[in-house]
Amino acid sequence: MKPHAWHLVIGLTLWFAWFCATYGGLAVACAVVPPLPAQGAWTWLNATVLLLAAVVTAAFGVAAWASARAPAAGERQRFMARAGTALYATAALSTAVVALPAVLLAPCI
Amino acid sequence: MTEPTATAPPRDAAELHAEFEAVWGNPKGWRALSVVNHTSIANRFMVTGAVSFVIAGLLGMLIRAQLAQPGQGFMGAEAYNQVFTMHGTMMMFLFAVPIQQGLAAYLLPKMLGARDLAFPRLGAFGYWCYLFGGLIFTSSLLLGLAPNAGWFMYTPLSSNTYSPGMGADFWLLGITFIEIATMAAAIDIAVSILRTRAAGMGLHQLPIFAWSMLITSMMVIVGFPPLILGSILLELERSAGWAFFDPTRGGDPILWQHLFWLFGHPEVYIIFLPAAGVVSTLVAVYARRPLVGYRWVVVSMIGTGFISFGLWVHHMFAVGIPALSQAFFSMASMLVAIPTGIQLFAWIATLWTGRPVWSVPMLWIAGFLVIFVAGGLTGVMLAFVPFNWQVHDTHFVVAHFHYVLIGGMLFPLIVGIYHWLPHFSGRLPSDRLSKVGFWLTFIGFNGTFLVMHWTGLLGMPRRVYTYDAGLGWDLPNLVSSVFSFVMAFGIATLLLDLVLHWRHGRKAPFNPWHADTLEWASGTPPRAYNFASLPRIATRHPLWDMPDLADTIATGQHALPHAAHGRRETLGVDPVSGRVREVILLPGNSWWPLLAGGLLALLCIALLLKLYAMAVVVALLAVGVLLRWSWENGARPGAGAESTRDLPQGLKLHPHTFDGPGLWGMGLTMLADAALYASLLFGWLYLWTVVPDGQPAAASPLGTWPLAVVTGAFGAGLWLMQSAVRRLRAGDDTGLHMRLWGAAVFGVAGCAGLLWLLLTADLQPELRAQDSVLSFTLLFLLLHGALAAVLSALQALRVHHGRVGFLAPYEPGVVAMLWQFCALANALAWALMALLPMAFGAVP
Repeated sequence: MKPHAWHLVIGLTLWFAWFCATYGGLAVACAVVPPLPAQGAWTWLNATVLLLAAVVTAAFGVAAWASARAPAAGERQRFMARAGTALYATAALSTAVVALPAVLLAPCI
Repeated sequence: MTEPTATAPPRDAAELHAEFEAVWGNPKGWRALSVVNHTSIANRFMVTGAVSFVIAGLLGMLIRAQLAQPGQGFMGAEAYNQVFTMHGTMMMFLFAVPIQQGLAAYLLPKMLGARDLAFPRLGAFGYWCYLFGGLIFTSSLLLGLAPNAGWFMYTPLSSNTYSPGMGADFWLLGITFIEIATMAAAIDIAVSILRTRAAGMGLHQLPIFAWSMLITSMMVIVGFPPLILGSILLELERSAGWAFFDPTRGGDPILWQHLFWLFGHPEVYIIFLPAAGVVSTLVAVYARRPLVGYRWVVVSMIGTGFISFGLWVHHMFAVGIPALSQAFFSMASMLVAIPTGIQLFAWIATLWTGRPVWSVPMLWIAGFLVIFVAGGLTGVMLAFVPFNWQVHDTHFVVAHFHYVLIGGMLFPLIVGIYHWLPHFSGRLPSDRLSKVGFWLTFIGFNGTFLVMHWTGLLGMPRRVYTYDAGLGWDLPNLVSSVFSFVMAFGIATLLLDLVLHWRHGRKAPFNPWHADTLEWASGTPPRAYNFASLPRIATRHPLWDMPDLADTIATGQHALPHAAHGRRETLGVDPVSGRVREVILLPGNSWWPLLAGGLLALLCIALLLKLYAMAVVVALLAVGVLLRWSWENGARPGAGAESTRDLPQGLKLHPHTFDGPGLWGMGLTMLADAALYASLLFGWLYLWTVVPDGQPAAASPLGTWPLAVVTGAFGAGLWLMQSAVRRLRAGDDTGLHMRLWGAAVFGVAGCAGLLWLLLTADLQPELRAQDSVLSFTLLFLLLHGALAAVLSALQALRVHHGRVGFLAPYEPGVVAMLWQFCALANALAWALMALLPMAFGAVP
């Protein structure tokens, strides 16, 4: 992955898109096909939230890894590569942490 | 291309100054109102912001006087409601954001090695909007018509039923007007940071304050539009009877809360990040070493900026959102503390490993660190949903956000004022007065708000104008009120120091704090043109690495060391590398910004008074003035643009290229527009999902195909605009005006289609919220389509007048961006408002 200023914003922009999609999607699913409250956190909806979060976290992790290994010539490219790595890692961590409550909480109550 | 910043032979500094003053100097007397220079405009922003702070602070003192004792009769409920609403609103919208944007507008060109901001006239226009909007809004206090529904204007409290009269209208119209200034300043600052820097200054060498303002400005551009949309919708509901937030007509009051807090939480960081930038800059100066972890601080600020958009629902934990959804926001609210913590450790590490000089600004930095950390900790407490429920709407929350905002913004602002005071005035403050001011403010602040946490934990709710004795709230309230007056004396001492120093302050030597940033090389007080020549900067610490820079700049030894040509110009650089790309032509003083701002103020007043015929006339006049103003932009006769032989070899003036600040300004404007439109589409889908029986009919009142035809018309216009740009890039301007006229015709056709839909579709916005959203969307699209058509027609006229063509190919590309937005917005409206209901809508 070539170091570039775009990598400073791509990861967290996608993180925000994922965040809104998860929050909005959960609201729509709860309005249209809410799982039974008695199921607690063991619902298809929680599983979907966690699966999507896992995929997105992994994708950000790969981006962070690729950014860290990118050959950087000169001070500017090193700055972009390292900052990009940190920001992709931030996006990965943020995705995993935000989705974590889906392990414990029922989705629609 | 030759290096534009190669060393030039030295010239006499006084002679050079006279040459530049002839082009850049500010006129005196009443003509000073036409000044657009960034230093003058920024000074006006800061002074107006300081006046707003004093008024809002006095309102705060009234609140504390009222709450000092139980059963106080000093103010009645109505007066109290107006006072706390105005206090919060003025502090947030008229003080905190504008004064920091003013500071940034003052400093950034000087820090970045530019002669002005990228859009000087836009900056002046923004200031007039801010001033007039502020005057209109503040006048409501004197008229006894001030808004009284709180600074967040929750519906239905702010609706016609519960807030009859003009109070809420003052808020909605006045604040929207002021937001024009905020948006204008944000676009101006962001484009300036990206495009008008010293040669060689790469992104990795930006002053840390520039990073903070770049991130803040992008947050304003994306974060303010949801509130602007919400304010327009609520004003339409109040004055035209449309339904957006009224549940009896298919609306939802919680939609307002979403729109408000989509803006409102990022707003906290919009206020904090510039202040953090000031602290990061100055900690390094006073520790006499580079900031530890520059890259980590940049990463933290970017992280904070993004994550802050994922917190808005933590203001709505008590409205009945499912626990899992709340948990998402709870986790994000805790996460955002991490990047802030990283900055904090960077500051401590810088001080720890440096050789700190104990000075007045350092005193305020120490105060900031203590207060802001305490505010941050209570913020993490509030991120926990159960705790949040317990203290929701109590004085604990009031204490928390005062710790965050006063600690996180006011203290760093004062740090910055003391640090840059010699730059503003050429004089130093009084050591004794400034220390007395600090200690009174620090002790008064903590005495007021530390105790207020306790009042809140004892259960005292916010926004009540009085309380009964014996509830345990008497003593803490009295203590808070007494200390609030101590704090007021502290602020008064500070203001006295600032006023007195202009006359009695010692003359400041050059760079009195031995700072590393470039602004100190621009003279104290600065000259209107900042730098007589523009140096190459390839370091984060120009004045530490090149101590003779001020002299070599003043004697014209760097780039563009002439002004005899009569142009105002600065270097335009590549946003990432800092490589010089072109010379940016800057506009001179003008009456258009004042005239346009004045007309918009008149429009605001006409809408307030419900004089709609007058409003239409004034709005048309304002559009006419703005278009006439736009006629002067770009390649224009009389601005010295023709005589460009004196430019460095290989460089052109930006109107003669395909790039320039206008392109970036339009891009960011479209980003803001997209944020507003996305908020509108969110509203459409939100009402569909949340409101009982809110599912729209499968057969859309807009029909299936009309919006598709309209989209086709705008798509055809876009194709013509893009083909015009493509041909210009290929060096061919034959038939250019025909393409532009053709685009305008397609724009008119698209607008006709939208108007026909608006008039013939069975829409009843007074009765149904869904129809209100559809009607508003059509109006939104119509307005943008009309603007695109008019601008294309104007471009065609400019081709006829020789202002656009092969030699001046820049502008059609700027207008084409608006066409892209129009085509995409129409296509999205068609997909979401005509096609999606066909698939998932209700079938009778």
